[in-house]
Amino acid sequence: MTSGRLAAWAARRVYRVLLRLHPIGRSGYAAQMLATFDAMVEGACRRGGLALAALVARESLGLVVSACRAFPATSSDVVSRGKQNTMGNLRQDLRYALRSFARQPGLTAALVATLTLGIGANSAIFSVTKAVLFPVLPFADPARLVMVWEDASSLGFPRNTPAPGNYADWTTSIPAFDGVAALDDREFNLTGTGDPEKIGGAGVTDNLFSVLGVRPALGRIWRPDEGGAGTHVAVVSHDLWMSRFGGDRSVLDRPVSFNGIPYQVLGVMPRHFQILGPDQQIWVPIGLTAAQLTERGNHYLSVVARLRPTATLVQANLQLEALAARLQREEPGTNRTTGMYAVPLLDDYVGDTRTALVVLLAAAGCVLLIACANVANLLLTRATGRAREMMIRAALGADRKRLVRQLMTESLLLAGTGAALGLVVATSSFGTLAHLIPLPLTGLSDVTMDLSVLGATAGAAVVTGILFGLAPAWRASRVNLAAAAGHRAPRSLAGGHARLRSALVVAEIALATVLLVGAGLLVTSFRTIRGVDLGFRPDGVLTLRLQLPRRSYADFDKRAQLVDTILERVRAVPGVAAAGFTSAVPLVWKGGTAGFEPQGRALDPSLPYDANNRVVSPGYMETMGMTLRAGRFFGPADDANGNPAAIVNERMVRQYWPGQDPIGRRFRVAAPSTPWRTIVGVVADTRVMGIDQPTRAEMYFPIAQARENWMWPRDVAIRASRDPKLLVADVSRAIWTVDRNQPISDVALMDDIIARELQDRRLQTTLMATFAGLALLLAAVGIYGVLAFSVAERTAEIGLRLALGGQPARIRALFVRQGLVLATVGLSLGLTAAVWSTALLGKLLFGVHPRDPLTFVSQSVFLVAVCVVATYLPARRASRVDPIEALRQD
Amino acid sequence: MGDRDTPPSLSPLQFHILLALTDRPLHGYGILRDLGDPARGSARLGTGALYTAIARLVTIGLIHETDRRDADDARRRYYSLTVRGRVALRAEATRLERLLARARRRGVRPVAAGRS
Repeated sequence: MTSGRLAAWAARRVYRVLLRLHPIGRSGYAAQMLATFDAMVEGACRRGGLALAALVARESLGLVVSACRAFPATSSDVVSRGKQNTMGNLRQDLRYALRSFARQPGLTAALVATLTLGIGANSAIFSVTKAVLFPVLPFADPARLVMVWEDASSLGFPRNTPAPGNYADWTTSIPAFDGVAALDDREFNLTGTGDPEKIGGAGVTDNLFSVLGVRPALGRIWRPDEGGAGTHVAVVSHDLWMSRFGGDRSVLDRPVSFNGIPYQVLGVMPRHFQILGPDQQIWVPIGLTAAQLTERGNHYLSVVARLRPTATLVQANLQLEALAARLQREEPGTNRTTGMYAVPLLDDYVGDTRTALVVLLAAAGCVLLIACANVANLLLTRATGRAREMMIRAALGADRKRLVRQLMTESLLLAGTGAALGLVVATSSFGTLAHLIPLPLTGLSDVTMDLSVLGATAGAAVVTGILFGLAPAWRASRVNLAAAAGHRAPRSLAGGHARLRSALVVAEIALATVLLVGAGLLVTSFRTIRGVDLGFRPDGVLTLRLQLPRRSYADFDKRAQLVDTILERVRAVPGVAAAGFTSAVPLVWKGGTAGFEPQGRALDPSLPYDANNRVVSPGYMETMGMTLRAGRFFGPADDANGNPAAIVNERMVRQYWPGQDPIGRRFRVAAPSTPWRTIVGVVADTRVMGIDQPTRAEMYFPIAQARENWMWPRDVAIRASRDPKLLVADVSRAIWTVDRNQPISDVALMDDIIARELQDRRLQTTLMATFAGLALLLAAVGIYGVLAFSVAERTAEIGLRLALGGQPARIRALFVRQGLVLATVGLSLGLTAAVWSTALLGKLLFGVHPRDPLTFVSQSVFLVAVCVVATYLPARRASRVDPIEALRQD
Repeated sequence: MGDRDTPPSLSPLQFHILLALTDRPLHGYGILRDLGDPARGSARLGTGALYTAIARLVTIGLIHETDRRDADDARRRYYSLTVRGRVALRAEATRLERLLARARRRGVRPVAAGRS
């Protein structure tokens, strides 16, 4: 069957079902209505899928609306009175519905709570998904913007920041690109008024703003002739303009001091403009020199390009591949293993969050399905219980349509209440869910309840209402007047219900199984990742950043001296047990590598000879609690006059000196002018690239000997002997006694840095576990309801058995078995579905296989245990039936 | 219940349906297409509302189902105007005409020809 024919078939099914409930459809017009609908479907199919969907939506709504209007007056010839009756009947229906709900507060509460959670979970996740996957990007035609990356997978960087030389080639050799712009990361110290402050920013190429298609809201961008070296012009964000300059237009007329240099602010960007994240607030000319534009060894740019209107992403990537292949041949020194590729800007922003959102959407959808099944079940129970009431009303002259409408009103009322409360639940969860928004979109996309989310929720409520309103309404309306005479009618009515209800429960358990297994896998991953050996002891460590102004500390000796003085003062602060300087504490900078060359050995072409490059002060490794495996840590002797020393990690030893004693061996950082360095120590691997990322080769050099190293000391780590948070003020004062203008930023406990690293996983795992818990709870209520009803229905039979000498234990077993059959069927269906669907979790898992047998088994056992409890309660009631009472009932 | 001889007042949809049937019998889909004809300036109509209106018109005797069967689709039923229907249609047209005349006298003029 083609998809078009399938859609047409589905459309007819929907129409037929609705028609069955329509008063006109049921009074002999059904066949011709179907014929008309078929003709309309044929026409719509020719116009495409959208037209068909619109037709089905319009017709379904039309049928529901006209059904409501038509009920009272089909036989009346007074048109105006029909309208009055409709309104009167609607009021009566509503009043009656409310009264009947009030009579069964427990059941009503269960129904409303079920719907609230199902709809709430869905609109919440839907809102986040919308905010992340459909943000309003502050660029012109953002769909044609791409980010361009280098692929250095062989070095462990599949998404590497490009080198200027490669960027220069992209501007000329990729015809699919209309414009290519580059940024580098910069930080600016704003001094002058108040405490010194560090502001993020970027050096950008002259064409960046035109590639993005944005103009400043105030002032202008620099002209190409103003962007050269030595000119100090800048464009600032709206936020910075407001917060630092009070929204004062005169900022354009006077110089402003960034990093102690007077800058001319030429323009202020529009309010919501941001690129690569909310932290970039100052943009200055990047000032790449002709020499830099041929350089391919240093990788530090972010590159954004606009596709030509006639070009596609595929073409761009083919051109990039061809260029990469050519450069691999022509520039083997730097580009031997370098790939190049472009990704749509939004995909790049969203990254792995997409997987998490898809999984959560699916989970929320499952919860809604389970909720619907449960509500249908509860309503079926209710409808069966009301069969006698319906019969009496029918006997008193209530028209069958009237009864159907009454039940439909109740369903829609429930769904409406559930939707309203669900919206409240969803709205109150937005604060937490906002953490799911990836960094580059922070500030651009707020999680808000907007019209489309409202529409989706209302749609869910109406569909739910019709879904679960249909079955009971249809069955209840078939109450036969003739059967009212006999007592057996409710029983036979229940027979058909029992099968439907069992099927619903099986479906609920199957869905709950899938969610439980998924949540189990995520929880196991999270536990595994929490247990990962970091290679250092984060507890009690305070970190802060001192971004040294390039200009003030350009002199190496001055810089080294500053590090010594600051450490001396900081160590003197009471409560500081140890302190050290490094270029980057673990997990905050996942790059910064350099090539190296071991002494006296031919290079092995299969190895990358690339390692993380860090300069550290003596005492840093002890402060971080890193483990020494061999040799020694850096000491005071490793100063400018000492023998050039290095410490490497175990992984570097395993990779480059396998099976050898590395102590005393020598290597040097790639550039030939740097001295050979002797390995004086080996430390255990640390997870600097991410807790869930493999470790890399790492090399550490003493700051005092790092004259040629482009890496600067930046982060200070402090091990506290008392609450580290209380040290911040004293430590800051100590630092400011050395340099009053030195901004201190990124103050964080190492524990917080790790928590931030795990934040996404924690949230995803918590949400998934919540959904699974809800699903299990709902399924348990479902199975309980079915059995409780079955017990109530068979009370007479149980009484008879007991009276004839049946054992209560065997009666209990009978019902427990009934429940367990449902649980087992649901479980096996669910496990089968889980085997196929957990692969969806993919990248969200760490250290656990998507089909991990232990998780599958433990979650199954858990589910069965819950089902046994849910089954046992009604079964126990069955075994306690009083035979006399039971027999008297029938 | 009103006087049997006074024709009932018609809703706009009922009026349109009667109008569609003035010159020939039509089945439901035919009426729908006739109403959907842009020249007649009518909003999109669904089967629910259409057949509800047809059922009512049959019940109050303004139209009746003919014996004619469609070669394309045997499920289709053709409807035509009854005498009473014709009377009701004419009465409604007269009523509308009077209404229009009154509106004109009070200075209500149609909007300039355009898209609406």
